[in-house]
Parts: sequence; C-alpha cells; structure tokens
Amino acid sequence: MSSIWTDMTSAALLGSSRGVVSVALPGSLDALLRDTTDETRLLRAAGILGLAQTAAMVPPVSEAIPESAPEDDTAVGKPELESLMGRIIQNANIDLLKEACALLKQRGFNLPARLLPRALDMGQKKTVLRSPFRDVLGKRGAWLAAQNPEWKFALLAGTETADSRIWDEGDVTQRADWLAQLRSTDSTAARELLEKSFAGEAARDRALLLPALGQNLSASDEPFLSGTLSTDRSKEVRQIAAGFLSALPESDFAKRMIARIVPCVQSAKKLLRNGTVIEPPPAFEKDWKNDALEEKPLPSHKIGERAWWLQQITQLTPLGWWEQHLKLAPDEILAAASKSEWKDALLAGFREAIKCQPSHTAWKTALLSMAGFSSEDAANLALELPPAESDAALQRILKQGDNCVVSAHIIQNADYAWSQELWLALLQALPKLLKMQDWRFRPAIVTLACRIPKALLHEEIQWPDISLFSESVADFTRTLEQRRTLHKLLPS
Amino acid sequence: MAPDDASLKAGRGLMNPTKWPTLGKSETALWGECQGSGKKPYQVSVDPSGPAFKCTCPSRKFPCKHGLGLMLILAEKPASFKAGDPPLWVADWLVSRKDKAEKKAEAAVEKQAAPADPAAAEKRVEKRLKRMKEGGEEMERWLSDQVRNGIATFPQLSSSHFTSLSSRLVDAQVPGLANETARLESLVHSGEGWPRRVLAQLGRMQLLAEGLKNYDSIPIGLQGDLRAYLGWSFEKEEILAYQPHVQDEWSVLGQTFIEHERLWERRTWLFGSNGKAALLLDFAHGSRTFPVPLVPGIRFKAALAFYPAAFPLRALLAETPASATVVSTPFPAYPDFNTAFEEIATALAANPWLYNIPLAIEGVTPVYQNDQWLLRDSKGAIIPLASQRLDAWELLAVSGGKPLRVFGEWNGDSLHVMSFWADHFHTFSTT
Repeated sequence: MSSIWTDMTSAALLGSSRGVVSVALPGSLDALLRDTTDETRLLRAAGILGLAQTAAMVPPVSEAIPESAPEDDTAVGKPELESLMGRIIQNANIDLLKEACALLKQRGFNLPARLLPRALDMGQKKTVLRSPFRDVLGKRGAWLAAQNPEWKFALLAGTETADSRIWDEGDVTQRADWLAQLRSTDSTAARELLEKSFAGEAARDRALLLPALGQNLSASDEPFLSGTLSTDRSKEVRQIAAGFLSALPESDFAKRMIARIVPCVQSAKKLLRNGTVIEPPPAFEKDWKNDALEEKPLPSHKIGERAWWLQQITQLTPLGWWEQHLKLAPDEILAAASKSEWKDALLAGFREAIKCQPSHTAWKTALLSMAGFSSEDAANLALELPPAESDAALQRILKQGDNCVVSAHIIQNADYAWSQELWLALLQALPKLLKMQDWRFRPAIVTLACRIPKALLHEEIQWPDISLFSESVADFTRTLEQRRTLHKLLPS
Repeated sequence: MAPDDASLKAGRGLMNPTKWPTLGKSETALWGECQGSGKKPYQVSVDPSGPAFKCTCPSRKFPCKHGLGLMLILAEKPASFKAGDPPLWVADWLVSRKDKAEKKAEAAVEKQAAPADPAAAEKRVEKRLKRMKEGGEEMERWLSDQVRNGIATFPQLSSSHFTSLSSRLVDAQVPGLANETARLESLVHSGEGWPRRVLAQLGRMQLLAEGLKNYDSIPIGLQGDLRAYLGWSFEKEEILAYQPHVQDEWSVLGQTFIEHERLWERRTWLFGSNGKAALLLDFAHGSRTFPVPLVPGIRFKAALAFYPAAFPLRALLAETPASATVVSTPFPAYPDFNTAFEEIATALAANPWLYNIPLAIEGVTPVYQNDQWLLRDSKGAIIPLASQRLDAWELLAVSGGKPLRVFGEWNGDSLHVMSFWADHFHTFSTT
C-alpha cells in the first residue's frame, strides 16, 4: 500500500498536467475510479486509501517493555494537600515554594506525581529552587528526570543525602551542598576531595564549589588556596581564593597585602594626637595582578584608579592588622577613616573585608552602628550577616521606616524565617511606607506574606486603601492563605 | 375604522335613513340596500362583531362608505333597523364567513403541529441544497486544479490561496467544508511528510464533495453524518422533538474549548454506563461561560437526543442533568488498540467521514523515546500520543511507567488523551 501512496504523492506534488497519472487501486476498489478525469481519479483514490488506512490500521509492535519507576509510597496522599501544592506551584512564589518543600521534607512527604513535571520545569529555570525541589521530588521525580535531559539537576532526587554518589553524579548545586555538609564535619576530607577534582571542573562549577571552604577555614587550606590563586584561569575563582586567604592572617598572601597597605597608612602623631593620614598607592605594581587585584575599575564604579587600588587592598588586608597597627578598636578606626578624604574607598573596602572575614564581630557591630552610614549600606551589610545578627540590625533599619526602597530591598532579600520582633518592626513602619505610594515597594508586598513568622500567621493586617497596591495586596492575601493552609495541613 | 377621512365623510352623508330603502338587523348582522348611481341598489351587509363588511358597490375602499354608513346609523339611530331574518344574500355571506373562520382555526391548529408550511420548508431546503451543491462543485473544481498544477508549491503559497476558497464555501452555506479547507492549510505546515497528509486531506475533501453531489441518493442516517461535516446543522427543537431520547448515567470524560473570533465552542465527551459515547457541542459568545456547567470527572443522569447519523455521536441534553456525582469507577474501555481499531473500522464503514473518534483503552503505558511520545498497549502495539508537552509528562509521571486506562480523541494518526484512570479519575492540570 505504501508504494501506491508514494506514487500518488509524487503525482500530486508534480501535478497531473506535467505527467500521466496512472492510479490503480487494488481489487474491486478500482471500479470506484472509473469514468472520470485523471485529477478526480487521484483525489478519489487518495480519499479511499486514506479511509482504508484509518480503518485497517494495525499499529506497529514494540518488544521493548518500558522501564517503570521504582516503588515509592512517599508521595503526598491527602487530596487537600495535593491540591494545595498544585496551587502553590501555580502561584510560583519562590519563598513559599521553599517553605512548602521544607515542610514536606520534614514530614517525609514527596510531591504528588502529577505535579512533578511542573516542579522539574521550574527547577530547571530557577536554580534557587533546585535544592528545595530535590528534597521532595522523590524517586519518581528522579525516574522522570532521567528521561528528560533538561531535568538533569534532579537525577539524584530521593537519594540519601549522605550518599557519596551525589558528589560523583549530582548537579553542581547539589554537590556544593554536599561538600559544605562534609566540610562542617571533616574539613580536611572536604578540601582534599575538592582538590582532587578541582582542575577538571568547569569554571562556573569551580566558582560554585570553592565557597564551601569558607567554613572551618584554617592554615592547612593555604597551599590549595594559594595554588588556585596563582593558577586558576577564572578571575571569579581567583577572587574567591584571595578572599579566603585574606582571612588567614599568617598566610603569605595576607603578608603581601599588609606590605601593600602599610605605605598607605601613615601616622601623623606628631601633628595631631592619634591622627592618621591615608594616602592611596601612587602606582599599580606589576605583581599585584597575581593576587587578584584589578588595575581598572569597572566604569560603573565611578571611582578613581588610585581610590580603587586602595579599596581592593583594604578589602584583602586582615582586619586584625588595623587594630594591631593603629592600636585602636574597630569603631575608632572607622571613625578616623570616615574623616579621611578617601573615606568612600576605605569604607567600601572594610564592608567587603568583613564578608571574607566574618569572625570579626566587633567590626560588624562598628560598621552597622556607624554614623553617616546610609540605610542602604547598612541594610546591605546587615543582610550579609548570619540570621540572628542580621535580624537585630534589620529591625533597627526598618523601625525608621523612612526609605521604602531600602525596606523593599530588605523584605526581598532577608529570605529566612523572621523573628516576631523583626516582623513587628516592619508592621509599625508599614503604614508610612505604603503611604509613600512608591511603585518600587509593590513587588515587596507579596513577599511580605512569606515573611510573617509562623506564630503570627493568623493576625489581621490593616491595609490602607491605596489603589496602586490593590493587586499586590490581593496577591498577598492569596499567598498568606496558602501559607496558613500549608501550616494547618503540615504542622511542624 | 374608516380607511380615510373622505370615506368617513361620505359615510356620514349616508346616515339619513331615507337613503336606505331597506334597513334590517338580526342577532348577528345588519343589512341594508342603498340606492347608488346605478339602477340596482347596493346590497350592504355588516357583521358588527368583527366588524366585517360586504357590499356590492364597486368601491376599492374597504370598508366602503355604505358599510360605514350602516354602522353610523346603528350607533346613532338604531331604531331605524327593522329586526328580522336576514335575506338570502345576507345569509349566504354569513355562512361563507363562518366556513372561512373555521378553516382558519383549523389551519392555526395545524400550524402549531407543523410549525412551517411543509411545502415552503421543502422549498427552502431545496434552495439551500442547491447553493451547497454549487459550493461543493466549486470545491471539486478547486481540488482538481490543485492536483493538476501540483501541490509542491503549497508551503510557499500565501494563506489567501486557502482562505479565499474558505470564504466562498461559507457564502455557499457549507461552513463545514470551509473548516476542512482550514485543516488542509494547517496540514501543509505540519512538517516532514506533509505531502502525504495533505493528499489524504484533499482526498477526504473530494469524498465529501461527492457525498454532497449525491446527497439525495444516500441513506438518511448517512445524510445526517454528512450534514455534520458540511456544517448544515439541524434545528435543536427538531432534534429534541423527533429523535429518540436515550436515558442513561453519563460520565464527562473530556472537554476542550476552541475560540473562533469571540465565539467559544465547548466540546464535551460523555460516556454512558455501557461505553456509549456522546459529543455535546455548545457555543457561547464573548466569554467561556455556558448555561449548563459540565466538568470532566462528573457523572449525571439525563436523557440525550442524538442527531440523526449512521454512527451517532453528537447529541443534545434533552433535560437538565440530575443527581450529579463524581466518576468513581473506571470507565469502560477496549482491551487493546487492535480491538479498538476493529470497532473504528465498523464505525468508518457506517460513516466514512468520521473524524476525532472517541476512544478508551485500558492497559496503556505512555513512553517517551527519541523525542517522541507514544502509547503502548498490553500487547506491545504502539501508537503516537498527541498531547501538549506538559500533559504528556503528567501522564507519564502519574503512570510511573505502569499501565493505565486512557480516554481521548483518535484522529486517524494519533490519540489526544483527555483524561485517564489510575486509582482514580484524572484530567490534566492544564485544563
């Protein structure tokens, strides 16, 4: 039959005006083609054959039996919970999704099968959701992911987290989590494991894996970090290594940085008591490049070259050196720095330095309480602290309630469970913030629904009637309702 | 009552009883003889209950001045009339009037039973059929032209090549053929292997055109099927009045919505308790809201009236759905593809134009391999699965690679799965 089709199709493609069409149908069917034009014969034959083919359809047989998913009875069984998860996935609020995944995981539940494709699609698009989803995709999710190359990140979903297969076969975010976990229990083993595979990893993956060493950093890490600093081809990776080395005051790197900062900090004791004069480096030395220092600032930085060099050196100098060298406490150092004509570069350097040297708590407190520190800078710094410290700092900023852009920034970036105090500080500031009617505050409103501490989920919130925000408030209400149901169905 | 002021004035001029040699009245009529310009007086009869008039004068006005004059005398000088039995010429008129009234009443009763004058209705059908046949002939000529000139250039042709035929077919009152033309155009752009699919569609259109040409000689049931594909719909009232009602418990197994220029079409597939399929088509203007809400997964009791067809599928709700519950048991299904296709062959023998055939099969496993979605039955037979990407993944996710029971539309090439049974009834999250 297929050869008739081929003949007919080529006749039709070419056109009967260009050739003789001789269509014949098998057996008695051919009688149906009599007494008419060539064109009608062809059309009628196509109609009859098309019909015959549909009517006499015999599908091909495949011997290969499809592989079924491994047994897994951990999927959510409750219909209410299943439909709630469907709504939460549709809502696509990242914070809410993270919370829902965490609660499901806590109870040992996985997502219902019908929601897995949507979750896998979202995880593929939004990297931040990969880890939360992996915890609730289960073996069924991993089985599904194995059939779609786009869903590679979920190949090891449902695997025990202690399984070392994660390191060998997992997605990079999963491997980074796993490495950080190992680092917290056996720091040497973690470093050695990373060192073994490091050269073979892609640049993007190296930049995602190396930060795991930030925990339990010690002098024994220096050789690996120095090696990485001098040989790695990725600037981003070299900068991460440099940051870690700056947190090791005894390292050669730290000593080189100190040697570079010393000429910039001149004591002016003779003229003014405790006076310190800051003078940025006059030139960019050739070997500085090897220590991940950049000669040219990005045009967007709007900073002069010398100031830029000073900022980078400040950033990579051990904070403890300043205290020893100037014999001053951090708040006094900052007070002196803010009087310098190079204060912008210095303070920016200190703010960056504290990120790589987080153990210097006194510096954080000093930086945060500094007068003249803009609430934006304070918020950014506070957001980089561990939650407990961050929380207290953010409370102070929110209580001022005078800058809705900064407040929106805080709301959207402090993505952990807020303390009641932080939430109450925000609630106090909220009427003032909303009345500014700044559209930039709008996206923060729905996020707020995810920041309310669990204990306060059922408190009423009075929203001033501002039409600019009415849609966002509706969004807030829907999201909050989903959270309430979530906690009702999955009490932790 | 007077046709104009002049008649009324003239009527008043005849109010003087002296102008009337005879004036008489009975219970049902007034009469009089009025001397006009001629030799013989005009004989005037009036039935005041109507009122109705009869006069022997040649006036074209109705009522004439003589009739009006009689009524005016009755109103103002009723004593002028002499009571008595009406003369013969009045009695004749009264009898003929009564006959007419009775016939009229009978006709009205008949009209209620058969709403349209059957002769006129037949004429209308003939007229429409003639236009449709002209449309069908035009399409046949167009089809032959395509095959004569060759279809190789189809993908390069502008859309108007097809839409101009479509609009001519709509004008010829065969909108169904216009839809076939639209499908033809979409097949031209269906990717690799299009020539064969396009040729099969051209052949299908040829058979529809030939069916239309021979409309009068094909069996009644098949006429009904053909009408569906020509887009020549029946009146709902006719279907409800003349088609037998099928009482059953119906499960809603599938539903799709299609929008054409703000006209929403809802296609709802029902399965009776023995697996008898029915298709309900509803239309709504502007928005997707329909008077009778039907949701996949519900089950209800109702009588359906099926459209006349050799293989009846399309139906109407003959009553409002009652005692709705959820579909709580697996819907009836064929054991494998081959059994299903044998049934389809029977259906196609009854209605060769059948398209989008409802199909339920059990023991089917979804398979994704080489970028293709397939369904594999318990005997290993495979057919293509035509579903949206996420729906296909959802089917696979829920199946876990194990067999389940599916319901969908078979278009001759692939099955568009609309719902399935795995522990319970499922539709897709997208719908």
